[in-house]
Amino acid sequence: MAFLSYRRGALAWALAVLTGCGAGPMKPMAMAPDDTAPPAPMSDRAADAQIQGGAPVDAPASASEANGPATATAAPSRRPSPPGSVPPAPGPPLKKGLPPTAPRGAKEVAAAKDVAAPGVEQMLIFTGRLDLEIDPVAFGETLDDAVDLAVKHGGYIGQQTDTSVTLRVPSSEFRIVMRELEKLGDVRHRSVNAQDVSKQYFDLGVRLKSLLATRERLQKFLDRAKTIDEVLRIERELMRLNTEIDTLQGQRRYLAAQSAYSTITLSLSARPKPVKKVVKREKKERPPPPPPPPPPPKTLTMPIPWLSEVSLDDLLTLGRK
Amino acid sequence: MKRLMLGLVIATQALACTSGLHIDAPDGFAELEEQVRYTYRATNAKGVVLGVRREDNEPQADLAFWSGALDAHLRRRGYEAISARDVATKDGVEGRQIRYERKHQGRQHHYWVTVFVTPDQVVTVEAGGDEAFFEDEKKAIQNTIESLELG
Repeated sequence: MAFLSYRRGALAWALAVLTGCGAGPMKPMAMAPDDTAPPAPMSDRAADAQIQGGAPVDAPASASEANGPATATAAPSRRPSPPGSVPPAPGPPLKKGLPPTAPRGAKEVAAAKDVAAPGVEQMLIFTGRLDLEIDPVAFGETLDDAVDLAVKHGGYIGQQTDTSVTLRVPSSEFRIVMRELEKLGDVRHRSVNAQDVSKQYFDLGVRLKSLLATRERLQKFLDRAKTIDEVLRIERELMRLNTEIDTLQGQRRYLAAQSAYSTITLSLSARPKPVKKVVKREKKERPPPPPPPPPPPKTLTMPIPWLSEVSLDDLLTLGRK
Repeated sequence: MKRLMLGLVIATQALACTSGLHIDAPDGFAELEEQVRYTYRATNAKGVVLGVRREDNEPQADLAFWSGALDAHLRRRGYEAISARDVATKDGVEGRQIRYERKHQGRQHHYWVTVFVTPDQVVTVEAGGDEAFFEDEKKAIQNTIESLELG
């Protein structure tokens, strides 16, 4: 009996420690709606492997985890920083050791950080916006060209209207695609936004690792539970832990997808008709046209009849004159 | 006797004396009779014509006026003045001669107009003809004009 009461006491202490320290109820992070279809989210196993400091595992652990084609480029830890991107920000200083009085859960977190920190690379979510002016009759053709360009670089179309299109392209191709898109028209506005989610992603991994370890211990406790009350309490706690683990895994997948694929929004507007410049030609100063010759001097017609008869015609007309 | 009669006829034709005007017609010219506007008119066989008008000096004016009036009249009608010169009759009346050129029936013609003015009358001597024939008569015509006696 004394041994049984000791075991009960140990289980109670373990639950108290788990709920009070590392495995306490966590406030789930607000997750942005994933409106896009990330083609290569990181699987739980890959995430777990990354947390352990190893290379990500691309193969999904189960069919439910494989939401899209898992490729190497989709793995955030393997993604090279896009050219021209912001240089990697130094990560937060990590504690190399813990005081001897630190609880057991804290030790696990610290261990996870110590292992994972060197393997974490910068994760950036690129968002580009491009406003182009083109010939009004070429809207459709230009949008098609933009989509073809994205597909050619391994991307896909996210959303499209009559005058705009949202493209998702691999982050490694982000800059190339932007430059190619700029050639489709006259650039009116161009903006690029890079959001560093490295720390957020890393923190999620640490919390996930801790929860996974706690769940494993709880499952061991469950195996050793002797009373119904103990089983119910442990299972209730396991259910809460699983919910939290699922939430964290979803957040990590979302960040991985966002950083693996960048978003480019292309908006088209009609190019204004060129205004014909009226170039005033400098009139060559031509000399004014010469004035018309003055009329011949007007002489008075004398009222002398015989004057009008003086002429060669009259002279040469023989006869009676 | 017959010779005497012939000489008188020739002399009568050569010395045209009408109303005090005396003119020596050039050789080869025949006077045209029954002239109304002309006091005297004669022509040679090739169509060179010499004519004399005598009008009253009315309005009373001098040589400059009448020569100028005639010149203006002819220029208005397209006559082109070539030259002008002062002349005088045999009896010393000063005159003004203006020489023109003029196309007539497709041929270039010479046309001389000489004006003499006295207190009572204005005498105009006209000479004209095809330039091909007028050249041969220039000297004779000029002599005839200078031998004119207004009387």
